[in-house]
Amino acid sequence: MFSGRRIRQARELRRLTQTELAKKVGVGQSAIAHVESEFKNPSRSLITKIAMHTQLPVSFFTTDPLTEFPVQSLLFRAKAAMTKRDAAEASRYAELLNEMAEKMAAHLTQIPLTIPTSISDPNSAAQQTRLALQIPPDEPVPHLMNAMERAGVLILALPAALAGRDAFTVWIERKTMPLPAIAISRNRPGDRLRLSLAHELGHVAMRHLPRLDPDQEKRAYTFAAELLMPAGAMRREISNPITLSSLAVLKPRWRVSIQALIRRVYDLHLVAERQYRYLFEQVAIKGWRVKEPPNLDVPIEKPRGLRQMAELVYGRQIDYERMAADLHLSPAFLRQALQEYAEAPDAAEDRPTPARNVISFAKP
Amino acid sequence: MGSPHIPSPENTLADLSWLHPEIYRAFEHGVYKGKTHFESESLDWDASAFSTIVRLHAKAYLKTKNLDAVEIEQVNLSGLSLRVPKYQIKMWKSEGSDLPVPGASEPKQEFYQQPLFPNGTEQPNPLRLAVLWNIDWQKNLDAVWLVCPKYGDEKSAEAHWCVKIPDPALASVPVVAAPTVLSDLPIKRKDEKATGTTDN
Repeated sequence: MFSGRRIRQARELRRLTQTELAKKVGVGQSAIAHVESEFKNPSRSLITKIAMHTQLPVSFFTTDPLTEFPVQSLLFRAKAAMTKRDAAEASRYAELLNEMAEKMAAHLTQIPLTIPTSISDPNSAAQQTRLALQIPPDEPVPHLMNAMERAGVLILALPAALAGRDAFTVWIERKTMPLPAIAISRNRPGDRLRLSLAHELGHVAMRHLPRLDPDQEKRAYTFAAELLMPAGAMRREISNPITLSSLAVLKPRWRVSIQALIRRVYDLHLVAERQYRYLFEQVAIKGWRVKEPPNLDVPIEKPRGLRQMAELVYGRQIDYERMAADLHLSPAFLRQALQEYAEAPDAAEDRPTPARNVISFAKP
Repeated sequence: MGSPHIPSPENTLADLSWLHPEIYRAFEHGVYKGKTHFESESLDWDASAFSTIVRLHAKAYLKTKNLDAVEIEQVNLSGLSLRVPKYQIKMWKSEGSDLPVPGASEPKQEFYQQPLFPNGTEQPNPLRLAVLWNIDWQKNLDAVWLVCPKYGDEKSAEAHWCVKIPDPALASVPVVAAPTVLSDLPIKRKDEKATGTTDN
């Protein structure tokens, strides 16, 4: 017996329509539609072909997916650049990462969720979240991703750049309580990724529903701004007269974009609307709208959770074959997935040093 | 008069590294004020008035910074002249990086000379420097230059060297450490009693 939901999951993960998959495996589109809806049982040979073309093991198709993330909710908050196919691929990938986490979690202790999840005011929510993340009220957040993982948020790092969306949040039903997971896109500048993460964390802390609601987005932005650039600290560190270069030098300290700082000083009434527009005009003239000065680049944060779980269950040098057999995924898929996660802090010590292979010709 | 020893532009910029970012920002601010003054009042463009407003606000900016070692001199028409240890700095609007020709201005002609050791003294004069600022066709700050004058008369002017004052946003190379995960997350195997990680 094979799972029709798995076939659809694999197809959408590989960005294929039913017609495209049908063509690859040599059947009609209706045959794929029938097996996906479980109206008909697929033959072993059809599953073998589907497995081959989706680069997943046959065993993957023998169980139902643990969760299904709604594609529609991802599209709600996405920009026009995101197609339904993009959203489906991202959702399916995130489902599989979450499934990996859930299966490995059975062998591991859990990190309890400590961030608030029911504060309606974005500024209060951000201040409470700072407390929960153990970050002083007026200090920069040094590693937001790590702080979030420590507070019990699961980070699902997608191995591809997501069109029209930097990140999205899903709530995963668990036995005791639902847990938030945030999926993040690859290839985003460090400052932008942090703002997107903070924005998603705002949706979590204020327990927003996945729906198209501009007010909800505005509040999540307010939360992100207060979390990364607290009003009190900004008022202390930024004094008039404010210039573009005086804001730029704050970027490496606060690890947010110059444009986010401009917006923040405007929202805090530290500059008037005329100067706000002028500063953005200067950003555009200098060509910083798309790419801010490289000397001020904010390093990209990587999550750690899923990789650490794999190391604990499958060994420090992860046994991908055994992991693949347990999780019904391919070793290649797992390697690619875990590449997006940070290695152990002391991983460099485990690697063989080149010096061991070097013969010294130096005279004694 | 002693022969002047002129330091290199690199050394001079380095020596003034505590000051030149603020000079740049003073003109960033001044140009913003000058530009918005004409826009907000819907006034016809007047280059001379614009320069005066820029200088006025640049000076105000420098005053707000309370730079202890800087003495801002009183000069007519909101002229900008600073005395800082080892240097005397005057600031003018220019076209590009060329020193303005002094013309009939004797004080300017005199400023362009560098009499480092006046007759009979061992105390060197401060090095005289000019800061030149200019705007682009959209009336945005284009560049700020540091120039070491050599000579100037009614028809010409010459400099020992001229160097662009770097935009502080582009010049700073902050040491931003890559965010590292300082320690592992607080998870362990359920069958593991002690803290720490275990290999299979």
